[in-house]
Amino acid sequence: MFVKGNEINLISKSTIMKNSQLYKGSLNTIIMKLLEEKGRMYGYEITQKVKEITKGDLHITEGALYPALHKLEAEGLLEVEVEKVDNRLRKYYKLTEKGTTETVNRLAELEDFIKNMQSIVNPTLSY
Amino acid sequence: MQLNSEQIDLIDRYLEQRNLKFIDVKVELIDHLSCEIEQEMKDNDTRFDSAAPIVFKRWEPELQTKINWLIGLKSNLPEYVVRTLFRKVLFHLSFIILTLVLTGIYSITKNDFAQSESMISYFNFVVVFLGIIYFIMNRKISKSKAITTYSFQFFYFYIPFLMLLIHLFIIDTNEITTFLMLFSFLNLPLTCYFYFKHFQILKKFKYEN
Repeated sequence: MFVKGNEINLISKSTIMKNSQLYKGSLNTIIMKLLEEKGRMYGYEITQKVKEITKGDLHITEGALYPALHKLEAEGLLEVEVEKVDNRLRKYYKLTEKGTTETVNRLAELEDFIKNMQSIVNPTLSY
Repeated sequence: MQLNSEQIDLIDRYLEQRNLKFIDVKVELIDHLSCEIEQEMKDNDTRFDSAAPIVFKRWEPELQTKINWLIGLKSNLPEYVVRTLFRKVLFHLSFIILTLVLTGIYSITKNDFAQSESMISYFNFVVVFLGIIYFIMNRKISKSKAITTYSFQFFYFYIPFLMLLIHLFIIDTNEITTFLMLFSFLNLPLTCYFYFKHFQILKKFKYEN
């Protein structure tokens, strides 16, 4: 399924019923969580990491990723380091102090959301 | 499988041909395209000559050039850049709307004080002072070795100020002048932000003057 929009382009290969809108609000949190774990990452690395974790099920396109990274940077949640790697310049993103605090908040918010959704969708299963 | 300098230059030229000149966007895309080409070479055990066209083709919809009247009729830019700039231009337009609202409030509530000779002279002095600041920043940014999305925003915001300066020498204070003056006042912190961000990027990417 492919949804094209200004904010997000997410491709889900395995399930045609998968609604990209569900992922729309979580992209920033996904990025921040990865950066929290890895310290610093560059754009292509983030797309590949998401693909690897979700076993190719979720693919973040560059049309969604870079605007999200730039927005987080403008909000002061990420900072950029530029290095020359393999004959070219590479932009590494890492969390700022404010970004690290915000990641904890956003992850807690996301977990709450999942828990509530679980209660609504499948009340018999305990989370 | 690393790309060599000539191959990176080829990617750079490919993006230049598509009018991608903003270095803050271009540097990131060069690295992204290079990574994709390297992966393609690794996965299919092919050479750069075979891998690059596959990746370029995949990127074709994003890099197809188009004109957006809001961004500028002379700017034939790639879709990817148009999307990035469009958001910035929308922000710019919302700023103009805010100024229009403030001008409306002013014209309803204006009093003799705002119309007094001393107030008009004071406004004129401020406009000239702001004009000097804008002019210095404009000259410096124009001499940069590269353009960024921030320098684009700087020039986009700069035009109403030039209108104000022209207007100032033609007509007395009225709603148009008030609008342009308010715009310049509100605009100054933002213009300074774009100016510093532009040079910060040039420094990071080692494009310093």
